[in-house]
Amino acid sequence: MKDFSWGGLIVAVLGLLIMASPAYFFPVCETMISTAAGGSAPMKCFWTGRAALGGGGMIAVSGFLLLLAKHPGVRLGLAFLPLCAGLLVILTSNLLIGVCPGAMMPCRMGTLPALSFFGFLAVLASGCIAVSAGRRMAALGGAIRRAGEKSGPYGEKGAENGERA
Amino acid sequence: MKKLTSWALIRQNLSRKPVRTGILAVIVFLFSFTLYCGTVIGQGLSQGTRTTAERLGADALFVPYGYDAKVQSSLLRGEPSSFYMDRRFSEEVRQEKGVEKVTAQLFIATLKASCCTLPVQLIGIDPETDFVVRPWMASAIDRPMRDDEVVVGSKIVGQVGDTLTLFGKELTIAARLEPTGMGFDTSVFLEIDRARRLLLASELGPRLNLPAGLDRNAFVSSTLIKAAPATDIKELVNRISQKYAAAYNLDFVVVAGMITDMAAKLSFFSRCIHVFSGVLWVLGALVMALVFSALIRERKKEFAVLRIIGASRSALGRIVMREALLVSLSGAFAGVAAAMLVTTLFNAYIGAVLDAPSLEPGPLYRLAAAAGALLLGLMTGPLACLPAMRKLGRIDAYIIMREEL
Amino acid sequence: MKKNILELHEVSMFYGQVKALQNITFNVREGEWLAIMGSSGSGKTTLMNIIGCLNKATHGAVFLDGEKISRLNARDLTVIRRDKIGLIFQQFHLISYLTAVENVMIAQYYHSMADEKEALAALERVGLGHRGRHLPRQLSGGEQQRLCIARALINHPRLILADEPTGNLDEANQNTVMDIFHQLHKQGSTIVVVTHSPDVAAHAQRIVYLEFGRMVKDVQNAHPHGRAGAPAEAGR
Repeated sequence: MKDFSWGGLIVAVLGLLIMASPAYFFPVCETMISTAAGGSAPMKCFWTGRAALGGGGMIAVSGFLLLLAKHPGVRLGLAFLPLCAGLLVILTSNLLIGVCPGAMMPCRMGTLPALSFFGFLAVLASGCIAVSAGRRMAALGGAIRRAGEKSGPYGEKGAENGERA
Repeated sequence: MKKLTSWALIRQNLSRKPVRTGILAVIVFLFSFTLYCGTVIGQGLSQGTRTTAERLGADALFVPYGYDAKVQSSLLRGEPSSFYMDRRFSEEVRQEKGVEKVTAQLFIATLKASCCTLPVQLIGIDPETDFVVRPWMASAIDRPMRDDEVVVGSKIVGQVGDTLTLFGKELTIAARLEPTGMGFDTSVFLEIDRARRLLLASELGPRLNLPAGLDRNAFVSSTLIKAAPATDIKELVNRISQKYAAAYNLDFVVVAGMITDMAAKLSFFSRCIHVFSGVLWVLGALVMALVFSALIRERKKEFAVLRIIGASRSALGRIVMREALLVSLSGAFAGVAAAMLVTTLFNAYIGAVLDAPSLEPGPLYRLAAAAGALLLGLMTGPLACLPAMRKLGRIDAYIIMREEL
Repeated sequence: MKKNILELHEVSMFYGQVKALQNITFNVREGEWLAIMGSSGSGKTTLMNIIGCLNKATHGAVFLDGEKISRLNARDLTVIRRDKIGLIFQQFHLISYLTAVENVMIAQYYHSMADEKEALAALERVGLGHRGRHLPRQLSGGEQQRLCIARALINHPRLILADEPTGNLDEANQNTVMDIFHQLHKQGSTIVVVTHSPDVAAHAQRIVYLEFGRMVKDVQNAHPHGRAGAPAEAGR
């Protein structure tokens, strides 16, 4: 639990799920609407799907980077990437772009809840990584301070005193 | 000052073995998740079924031969369909003994409506005889519907006063209906003659393939019958279909039978869910019992040390018990939280996948289900570690000491 | 004359046909430092388990601080052990996932109430004041043994019972530990050390020799290893 290193894997998988949801698992509406000019245009949910592709990709990539990163400072910084991207996925699908208004339309029944759910999990997971990395940063800082005071990482001098007596 | 208590010991120990702790928590998670989802979805379906029976208010439906399944899916799920029969049947059947009320409806599947890109079910109702839709429409609109007005189901987009374009005609939404959990939610209701005129005037009109001998100005889709009190509905339906089947080429659906079928399907579903949760629970408890027993064996030395420095046997028991409780708590809590999230977000999707009318149960029911799933999940760990607890009794400090000295 | 802390009358221990101890009788006075010596198989571990309330003798009577413990049940023995005896082991028996100070505090916790300040002071006394936040595996063998001593002392036991306290230590650490024992003795603690090592036994005021489960000698040590002049300024 200490460094939560496998958390990166979770984030990466969630990113991939977000990318795949609008295309495979919970597809957005396929039909096009006809415009006044006589052409046809995709509906809102199509663009939400596109945004999820980008946001999910960002989450997936940062998940893989988190798998590689060891230093808690780097992990702390990296964790904010999927955190914000997850929020973005939730916001684009619910507010910024949204999905079609019909309650029985596939994008509202499937894509929207899926993106909200996976986005929420991504935010949660990266939040956990950020907190654990932050704690380790604090611990590291404390250790460095103590080492400075004792002139040695573990204050070996004390032990030698005891044995010499 | 940092406090050192049994809880601190337990937390340290659990976080020291994250994989073991994680697996145990996941077992409880799965159990609580399944239990909550199963209970809430099952309840939603049975609520949906009940409202279907209540809202329909009819005892039997007569439709053109071969369309009995179509009308069911149209009623239950709002799957758009179109089929036609002669209107005169509804006049004639009114004279039959045991028939109290009769009304006709016209179903039209639109190809496209401006509100939605998915086809909608259009239902024409006869304001003079209607007893099926009117009673619950009255709660939404208390005057006769005007010619250019429609009433929409709860899942149709648009506010009262908005206009809807159907077959090129602008219609005003006069009222919206309460959610019913069935096909009415996605239907648009209008006056039956108006609906027929709309259909004939639309691009569908010329291509309308009416059965031979059907009057273009007097066709309907289904005839709904309410039997007089204390009438044997089966007998009535049999009598009617025998008498009119040849003339009108009829098929029928007995509503009670339809609901019974669905209720049977539902009870099977909820039995499956509960059996599945039960199996999951037993398996999970078994795995946990094994893990706890291995855990106590592995920690024999640690427990012996605690015994030596003065922990009583019951104190060791408390440590094991609380560990189990903490693991169960985290698993059950996460499981119920995830299940609540999933069932709330995916409510519509679940209904569509299960192909049945579904209403999300009220907050009180959901809260009770959550509490139940949480409690049962919480009990898993402590129950599972009971058998292993007996091992603790056998940990006697001196035995361990002797093994080592 | 000081009163007896520990009295053994005709104590025997039989495991079926095996006679691990036979008719052991001796007393330990308050403030006394006694060594129980014997080779392995002499029954000294069995004796230590009986004195330490870890096991009950099959015959005979044992009095600890005036209380007859030889007929108590396991639950009462746990209470006596917790309240009156400080145990020190060859294998240290520390809890691996707790820090040094927590290992001391856990003994306080089961005795009465954990108090970190007091626990740190106890570590200070054995020269581990600066090591409180380390886990046992981060400590050397000598430090682990001193931690074990700090844990044994934290509840102010009437009797300190040490089993081969230097068995796993090199000479330098052995000296440190014996220095602490000398200091405790000087402060008036009653100490019983079980050992096979003549060197360790030589520090005690009095030595009881066991052989094949029988007490063969009980001698006063006229010249205990006088390290009292150089008490451990352990770790300051």
